[in-house]
Amino acid sequence: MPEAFSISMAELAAREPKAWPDELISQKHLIYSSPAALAFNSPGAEGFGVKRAALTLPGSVMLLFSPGCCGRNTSALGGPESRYGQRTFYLLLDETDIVTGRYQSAIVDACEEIAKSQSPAPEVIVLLSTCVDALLATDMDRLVRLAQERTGIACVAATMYALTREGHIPPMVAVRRTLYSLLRKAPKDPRRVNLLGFFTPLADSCELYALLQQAGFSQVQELSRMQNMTQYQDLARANFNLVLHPESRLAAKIFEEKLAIPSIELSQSFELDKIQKQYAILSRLLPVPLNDQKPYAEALAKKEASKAMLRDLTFAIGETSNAEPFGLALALLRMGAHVAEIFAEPAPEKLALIKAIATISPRTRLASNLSPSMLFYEARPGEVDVAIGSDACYYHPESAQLPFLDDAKPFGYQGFMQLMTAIETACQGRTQKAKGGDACAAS
Amino acid sequence: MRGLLKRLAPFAPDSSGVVSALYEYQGLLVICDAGGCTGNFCGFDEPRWQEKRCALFSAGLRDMDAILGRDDRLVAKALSAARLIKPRFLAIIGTPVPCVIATDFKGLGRLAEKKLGLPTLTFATTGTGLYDTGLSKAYERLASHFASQELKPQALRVGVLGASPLDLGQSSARYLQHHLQKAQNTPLEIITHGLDAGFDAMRAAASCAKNLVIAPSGLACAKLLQERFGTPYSLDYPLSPGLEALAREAASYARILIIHQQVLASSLRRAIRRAAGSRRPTVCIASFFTMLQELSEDGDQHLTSEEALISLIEAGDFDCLVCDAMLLRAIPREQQASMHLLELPHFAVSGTLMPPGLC
Repeated sequence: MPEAFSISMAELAAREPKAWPDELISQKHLIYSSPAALAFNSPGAEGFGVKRAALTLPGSVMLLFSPGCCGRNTSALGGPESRYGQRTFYLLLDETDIVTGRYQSAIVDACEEIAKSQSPAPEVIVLLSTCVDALLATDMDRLVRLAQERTGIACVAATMYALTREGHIPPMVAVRRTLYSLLRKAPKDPRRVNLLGFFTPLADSCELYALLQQAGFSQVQELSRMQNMTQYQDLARANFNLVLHPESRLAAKIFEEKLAIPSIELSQSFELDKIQKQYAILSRLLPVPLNDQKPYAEALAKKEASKAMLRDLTFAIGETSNAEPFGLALALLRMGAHVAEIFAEPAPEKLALIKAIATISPRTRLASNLSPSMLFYEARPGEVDVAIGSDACYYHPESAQLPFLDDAKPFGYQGFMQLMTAIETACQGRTQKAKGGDACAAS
Repeated sequence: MRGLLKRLAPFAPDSSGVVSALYEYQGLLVICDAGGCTGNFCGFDEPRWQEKRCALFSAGLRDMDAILGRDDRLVAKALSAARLIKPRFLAIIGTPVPCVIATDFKGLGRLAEKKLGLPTLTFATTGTGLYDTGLSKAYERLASHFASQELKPQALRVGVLGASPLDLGQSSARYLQHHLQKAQNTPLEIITHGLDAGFDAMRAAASCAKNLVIAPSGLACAKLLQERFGTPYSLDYPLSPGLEALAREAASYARILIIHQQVLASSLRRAIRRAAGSRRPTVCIASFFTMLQELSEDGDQHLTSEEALISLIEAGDFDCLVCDAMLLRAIPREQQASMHLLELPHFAVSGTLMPPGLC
C-alpha cells in the first residue's frame, strides 16, 4: 500500500518555500477531504464557516440563494432547537435560473416574504451568494439596495466564494469585513475598545478583559456579545480596536478608513514571554499602563507545574483547533515536550516558526491533511501520547484526545492555562480509560 | 414562492447521488468543485466516509481555473493521484461551477481517458438536481460500462439495486441482506450493488438470476440489465421487523400519509394494509423525489415545495403521518397535534441514519 507523504521539519526548513514538495501545496494536487479535516473543506461542518459567521450579526436572518447543494450542510445548523436554524432561508436555483439570471428579481421577492413571515421582523437580512454569483459577477450592491428598499430592513451581502480561498480576500476574511459594514460613524467614547477576530467571545476568564478595564476601558466590546443592532452600533464608538486574528486585518482597515478607529494587533501565543512582551508593547501605547503581573505569575506557576508532565509526552498537532499549529508546536517543544507530527499546510509566512521547530526537533514530521496520499495514513502505534486538534485526534484515536475547539476562544495567559489544564485532563482521561480497559481484560 | 425554503433545508443533491453510487467501486472520484461541494458530500451525505476508504477528491478549482477553463491542470492532478492510487476507473462529477462555465464534460472525459489510460465516466451534474437522479445515472452508467456479458445467470444469486445509504439510512447492507434472506426458503447469494459490493460484483451483474429494486434510483439500471442480459426485476423493499412493527402501529389509523422514497413507502403501504385487514385504511404516499408510475395510486403525490407539503397535509385530513422528523419543521404545530407521528428517517432529507430498531 502507498504511504502518506510527510517530511521532516529539518528537510523542510532547509528548502526555500518555492522548493517545498507539491504534496504540501494544496493548489498543486487534488484535495483530499479527509475525515480528519472536514472542518476545512466544509467549514459549516464544524467551527465557523461563512454561514455561521454571518449570522453573528445580532437579529439577523440569512437568505442563501444557490443551487441546493450549497446549502446542504446548513441542515446541521437547523432545527427549532438551534439558534441558527430558524434564521436561515434558502432560495434554490435551477439551471434555467442560472442561465437566465431570473432569480435575481426573485431574491428581492424572497426577502419581502421572509420579512413578512417573521415576528418580530429581523433587524438585518444577510444575502449570501456562492460560487455561482462569483462567476456570473452578480451586482450584489444593487441587490442589497433593492432588497433594502423593498423591505425597509438593513440588508448586507456576504459571499461564500470557495473559488477565492487562496485569493487576496478569502471567504473568511471577506465575511469579517461584511460583519462590520453596517456600522455608521459615531462620536468616540474613549472608554470603549473593540476586540476583533472571532465570531464568539473570548473565554470569560481571559485576563484581557480585566487588564483593559484596569486601564480605564470600561466597555470591552465584541460583536458576538451584542444583543441587537443598537448595541452593534456601539462598536463604531470605540477608541480603538484590538485585532486578535490576522483574518480581521481587512476589517480593521475598514474601521480605520470609514470610522477613523485605529487598530493594534495582538497575536495568540502559548509562550508566556511572548504574551508578556505583547502586553508590554500594548501598555506603552495606552494612557494607563496594563498590569499583568498577577495573571503572569499564575500562568508561570502553571507552566512550572506542567513541565514535568510535558517532558514525558509526545504530541501530534493538527490544524483543526483553536491554536495555530506551528506556534503551538514550538511552544510545547520549548517547554520540553516532544512533537512527533504536525498536520498543516506550510506557508512562507510560517518560515521562521518552521526553522525554529527544526532547530529544536528536526525529526518532527509535517503532513498536509489535504494531500491525496493521506488516504493511506497509518499511525505508528504508541508513538503519540496526546493529539491536539480534531484532525490529529482522528489520526491518533488511541492517544489522549484534545480537540481544543471550544467556541469560547482561548487567548493570552488564560489560553495557556486552559491548554495546560486540558492536556492534564486529556491525559487523566486516557489513563483512566486504559485502567478500565485493563480491568475489563482481567475480568 | 417557487424555490424558497423557509423551514426546511435543501436535500441531498444530484452530485451526492452520483458519488454515493460510485463510492465502493474502487474508482478515482473527482468532484469538479472548489472544495465546498466535496466537503458537503463527505460531511453530510456519506455515512461511510468515516468507515470505508474511498479515493474521493475535490478538484480544488480556483477562480482562474474557472475563468480560463484550465482542464489540463485538472487532468494533470488526476494523473498524479491515479499513479498513487491505481484506481479501476476515473469519474469526474459536476457541480455548479462547471455548470456555470459550461464545461465540456465529454471532451474532458476524452482528454482524461487518453492521458490516464483509464475508463473515464463523466457526470454533468449541477448541484441543482436531487440525489436520486444522480444515483440513477451513476448506477446505469456503471452497468453500461462495466457489466460483462460473458456470465450465465446463477439461480440463487440475487442482485439488489438502489442500495445507497442516502435511501437506506445505513452504511452497510448487513441488515438488508439478512431480512431479504429471511424471507426466502432457500439460501441466496445476495449482491447489494454499490453497498458492500464493488467493481467485480458489477462486472458480474449478468450472473444474477433476478434483480430487486429497493429504491426508484435502481430502476434505470434494472431496466438496462433486463434489456442487455434478460435479467428480470421487481420493485420491493424488504422490511425489517422494526418497520413491520411501525406498519402495525400505523395500521390502527384510518388515513395514513407516508413520506419517503417511493419503493420503501410502497412496501410499507402493503404491510399496513396487511396489518389492517378488513378495515382497509387509506394509505397515501408522497415524496419530494422520483415517483414511479408503476407504484403510484390515486392520492399519491409528488411534492415540489414546502407549500405543497403543507397543502397536502391540510387537505388530506390524515390522522397518522410517517416521515422524517425534519419534515415536521414545515408542518404547523396545530396540524402536527392532530396527527399521530411515526418517525422514519430518510438520510437524503435530514442526514439521520435509521435507528437500530428500524434497520
